[in-house]
Amino acid sequence: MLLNEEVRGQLKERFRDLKDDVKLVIFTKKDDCRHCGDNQKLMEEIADLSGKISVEVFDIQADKEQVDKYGIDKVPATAVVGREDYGIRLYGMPTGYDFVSLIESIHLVSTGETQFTDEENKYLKGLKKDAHLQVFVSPGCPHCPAATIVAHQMARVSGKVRSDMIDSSQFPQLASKYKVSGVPHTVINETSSQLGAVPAPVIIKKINESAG
Amino acid sequence: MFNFTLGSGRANADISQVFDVVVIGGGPGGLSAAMYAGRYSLKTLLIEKKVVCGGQMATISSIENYPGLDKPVSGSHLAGEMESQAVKMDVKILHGQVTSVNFADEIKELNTPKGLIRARTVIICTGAQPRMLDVPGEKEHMSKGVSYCATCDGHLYLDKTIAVVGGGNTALEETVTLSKFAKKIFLIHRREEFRADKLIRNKVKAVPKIEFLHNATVRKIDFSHESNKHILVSVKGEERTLDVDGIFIFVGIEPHSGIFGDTLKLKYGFIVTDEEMGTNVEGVFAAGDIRSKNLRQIATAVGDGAIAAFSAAKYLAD
Ligand SMILES: Cc1cc2nc3c(=O)[nH]c(=O)nc-3n(C[C@H](O)[C@H](O)[C@H](O)COP(=O)(O)OP(=O)(O)OC[C@H]3O[C@@H](n4cnc5c(N)ncnc54)[C@H](O)[C@@H]3O)c2cc1C
Repeated sequence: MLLNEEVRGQLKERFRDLKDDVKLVIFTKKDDCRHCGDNQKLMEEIADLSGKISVEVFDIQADKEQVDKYGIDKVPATAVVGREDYGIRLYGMPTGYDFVSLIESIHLVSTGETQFTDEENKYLKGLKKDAHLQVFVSPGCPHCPAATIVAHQMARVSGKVRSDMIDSSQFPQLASKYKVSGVPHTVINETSSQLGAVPAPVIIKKINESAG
Repeated sequence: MFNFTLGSGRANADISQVFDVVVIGGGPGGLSAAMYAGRYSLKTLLIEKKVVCGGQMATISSIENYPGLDKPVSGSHLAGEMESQAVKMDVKILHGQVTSVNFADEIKELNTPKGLIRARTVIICTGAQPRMLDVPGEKEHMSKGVSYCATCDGHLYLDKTIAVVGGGNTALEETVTLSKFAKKIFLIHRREEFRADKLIRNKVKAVPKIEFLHNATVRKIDFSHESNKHILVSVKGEERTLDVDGIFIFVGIEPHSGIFGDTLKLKYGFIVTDEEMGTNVEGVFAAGDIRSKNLRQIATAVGDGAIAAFSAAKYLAD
């Protein structure tokens, strides 16, 4: 067991107020993926704790159709899917503070509860431009869940926003490609970025300014 | 093996009630105060502005001086344990920032984005945040090479050259952590001798990849050009340019006391209390790093927290 008895107990309690069913769609790879096996095990253990959570497993090489459907390009990957696919992804096995973000994502997808004001919600729903948010985080970073949660909430509200949480320690090449030298670091539509955890309006402004 | 941090999730507390004790801040001081208040069967709410509890402790790579933990643990691990111990005592946790307070009446009022919170007693445990160096280039390059958190960003400097600024226990302990990633570290300290304890000084001195620059101050940080990242350092009055990919700053702390300045007695920004953690306002107590005191550690924060909860209980009983 990856999760100890105490954490399992707390999670069961936490999952009590889930509403919609949640599907954790995970992507693995046979060889050459250090944490794919553990990621799958972790998600299965989580699904065991609530009747509302299930797991589907695909292989990034063998299951082309699913890979395209969910837009997956690296492993381990987890799509947190609710009544529909809101575009919420976690790349890397979520440990440490990234685990907080996983649990919050499950909750978010299932309940739709966000901290946004009515005005922010309205704005997000009316967003014309597509936005791809890539939030680089690390397991030892207590400031990171706040950044991930804002980006994921934006994806939950707006069909135009996709949000990836990426563990910079499991994807160092990608982190260095985007010149990530501190986390949280959110890459917006490939062209601009936001450092630190900031409220949604700051990200929205950057989406509007970004190309794409 | 793997560590899975949980966080406290959403508060299910009914915030329309008047709480016996409201603790502001979920670092070790606040978690201890709340746990003790819970054990005294007081209706207790803890308010933490971040998504997770732990405060500064959550950023400590390895804690080696907390009694009872013979094997070093991470700050996030200890934060998780303290939090679940408090929650077991029926402490409710609300995530949101206290933006202003009114301590004028017997029932104290606290403003948060989630609504007005009312309490018979308040324990302030808002702690502190890392102090900035206050040199040109620091603000502009925050998170772009300038960092205050080794557990967050250390891995991004694998096989790179970095500088660390500071000479206290925190700076030296975190330098040892960073030496697991970086290929070379310049440890910059403004005095001849480190302030850190001998034990920790000896630990850093044993790491060959660390170069010591004493009597040195950082003058400027310039990470604007990818191919020419550097800092300017004055060493014994002589200017030196150091080519580094990042700089980690551990030069002390800045208290979170802004919202209390009008009502509470402060000294250099820290809240003045008596031995029982009482402030100049009846029913308002302070504990942990936010207090005016000499030793700011987890052990002293949890001790303060326990005393503050006891004092709050006594105040309520009288
Ligand atoms: C890098 C580093 C390494 C360290 N290493 C060690 C070590 O090895 N051993 C040791 O004993 N100590 C160490 N310390 C010191 C130790 O972390 C602190 O002494 C301790 O965390 C203080 O606890 P606290 O609860 O008083 O405050 P903090 O830990 O600062 O917590 C305060 C909390 O209050 C919250 N808060 C602030 N304002 C508000 C508001 N308005 N509304 C709501 N919430 C608010 C903050 O978000 C924070 O979570 C280290 C510190 C650092 C930074």
